[in-house]
Amino acid sequence: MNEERARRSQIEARILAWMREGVRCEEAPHETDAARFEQLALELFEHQFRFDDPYRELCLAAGVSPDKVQHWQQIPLVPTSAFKHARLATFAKESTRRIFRTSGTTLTARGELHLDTLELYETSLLATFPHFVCPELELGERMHFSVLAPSPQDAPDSSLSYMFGVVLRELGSKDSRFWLRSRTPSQSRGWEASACVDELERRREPIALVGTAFAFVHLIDFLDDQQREIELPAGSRVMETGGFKGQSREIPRDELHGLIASRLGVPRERIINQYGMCELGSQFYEPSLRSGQATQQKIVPPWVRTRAITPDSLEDVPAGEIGVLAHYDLANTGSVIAILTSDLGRVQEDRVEVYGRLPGAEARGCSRAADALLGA
Amino acid sequence: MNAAELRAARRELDSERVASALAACLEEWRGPDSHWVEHLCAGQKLFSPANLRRGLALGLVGWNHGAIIDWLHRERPPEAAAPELTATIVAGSIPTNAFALVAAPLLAGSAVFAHVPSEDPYTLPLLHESLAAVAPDVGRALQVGDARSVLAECDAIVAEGRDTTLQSIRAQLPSSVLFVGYGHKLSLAAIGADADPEDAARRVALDIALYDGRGCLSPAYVLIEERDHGHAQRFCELLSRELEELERAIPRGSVSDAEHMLLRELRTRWVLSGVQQLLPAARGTDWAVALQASGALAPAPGILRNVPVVPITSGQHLEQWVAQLAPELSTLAHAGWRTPENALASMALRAGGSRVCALGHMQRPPLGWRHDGRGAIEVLLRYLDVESSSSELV
Repeated sequence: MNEERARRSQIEARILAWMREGVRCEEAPHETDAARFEQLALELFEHQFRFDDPYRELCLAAGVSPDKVQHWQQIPLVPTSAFKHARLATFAKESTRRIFRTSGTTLTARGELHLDTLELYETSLLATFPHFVCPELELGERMHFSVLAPSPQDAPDSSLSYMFGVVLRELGSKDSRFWLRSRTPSQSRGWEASACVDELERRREPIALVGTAFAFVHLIDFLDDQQREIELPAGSRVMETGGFKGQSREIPRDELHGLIASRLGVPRERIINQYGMCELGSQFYEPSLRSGQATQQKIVPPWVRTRAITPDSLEDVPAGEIGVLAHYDLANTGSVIAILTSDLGRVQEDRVEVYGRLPGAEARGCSRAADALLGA
Repeated sequence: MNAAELRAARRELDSERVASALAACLEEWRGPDSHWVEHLCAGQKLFSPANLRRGLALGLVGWNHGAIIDWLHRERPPEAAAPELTATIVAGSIPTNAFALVAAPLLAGSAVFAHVPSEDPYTLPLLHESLAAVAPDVGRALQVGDARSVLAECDAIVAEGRDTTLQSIRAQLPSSVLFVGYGHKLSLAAIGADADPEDAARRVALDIALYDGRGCLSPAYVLIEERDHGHAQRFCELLSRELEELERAIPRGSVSDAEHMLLRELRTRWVLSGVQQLLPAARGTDWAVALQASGALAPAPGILRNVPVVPITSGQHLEQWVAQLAPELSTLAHAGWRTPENALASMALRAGGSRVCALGHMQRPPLGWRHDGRGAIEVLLRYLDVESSSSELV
């Protein structure tokens, strides 16, 4: 085992132990874990500064090195776009076990997250997903999952597909299945809409219908075209995730949940949004199903910290105001702990509300006028 | 005023009258006490008042009656017809650009409907008001507002915008409508080894700071010929100092969160592509100088006072560097090159450029210059070929 791996394994062991303690969002806010997070975050940053060459370059360009960092908030943030331009990893290329890529088109570069271990990702997932999406499952118990996303075999570089693959492996009944063949299905291509709807109608036990937000839009469009409605069995739940990047249309999340409720017969409090991204090892969930009340606030796992900041100064926005979200995720051991997103949100202790993305970051100037005229 | 009234108002004017009115109007905008400039500063928030005052004070030098008449005579012969009504779609909020884009069709002989962009509801209305104040008859040939309602009635459209958007507009127009599009261009400052570094840094900093690097006349790249080891780095330090001083003297205007994010990403990209040194403002994204690796091929272009500086080795290297910008070059500003000026002009021309100027003058194009290098009046005209009726049949 090389030095990097050996040192990181020591840090990872403590992070994994924390993850295995699970989520206690209802009774223990993050303040109680402040010292624990600080200690691990600073150690992880020091490690990444030493072994992740592009990250070190970014830190040095910002005039920051570990000796100048006293608090996790001072750890230099890396915009998600950086993953398009460099291999941000602490380990050698030949140790890479999996590469997750951001969604994108052939015309735009795609970000890449290189992983030499999936243990952190899976442990974080299994500490949170069952807690928020299927809390009634006893240890070893399984339920039916219908997944509106491609399988890991069909989309091997999709972190989302990998996530659903793990969920089915650990929690899904034998008849659970993926319904999509491609990341960007259309109404008529890339998935078996009719067979999917038939199957959903046949179910008599509570199920989990999970998938990408845009796949749910396609499902609803299909139901509308067919003039059909489904009543999923009582006790079922829906979890949707992901944005609408690169898709032909976008609908507000609240509206989407309303449509899901009316077309699939699932109460609003049993529809959960998950927030995550390729560059993060952890995901956030709305606790609606646990609390019995629909909410748009998501719980930040204990091993993650989130700030709402202004992208000019990188300082926190005043309490309660909307800012750009920055995440510090201890699950990102082999890449970069501190991620600057383009998502807008409001942070309240260990909860975050996400309000979509910053509008296309094109500078106002010479090329805007005609676009504005056309409403482009 | 409707389209027919606009056309009628312009028909009553000759272009000499329009030229005199425009000159009188610009006179009102010139000078430190212009109340039009102060009105603009009070309303418009994209640029700081100091930036607008400085930009206008420098940009309007030479934009006088003589220059307008010269422009008119150069491009508009008496035997030519102009579209009766032209819509102009002005990009951004740079006032001198707006003046020029409105002046050209008016001088050509067209009435003008100038579209007011939502992000700047001040510049064009103030221009119209000031023109109407000095020459009500000419003011009646210009209208400002939302042009969407009159586009179908226009004989010509002059638009600035993204290349793809311009293509899309052109495709939607009937063939009888003349379309003039000004698409994406960028400019370059090139400093030769013989330039005085302090003077060059002062001049380039002004080119960068005026209008905050929002227009295509701002340097997207600064090239510096290395005199000796460390020369480029010393220049970057001088440039940083000048930009910091200009941040106090003519502060950057409003920048959206999305633009701040763009700048954060731009800086990250520069560092990850092997920048030698990043010299950022002490606070936020106000400005940054990114010293690139020697000879770096077209790094991500600068914007909003964040600029890449690329060390190069010779005039020949400059030629190779400029060539890679073809056909997008607009203006090449230079100082201190042993390469003859006509050779610099040739390399700019080959890269699509249409202007070569001194450092510190990038934001001061002559009236009548457009970044495609074509006459802004001329492109609107239909010329009449008049031959003798008594020519013999041979």
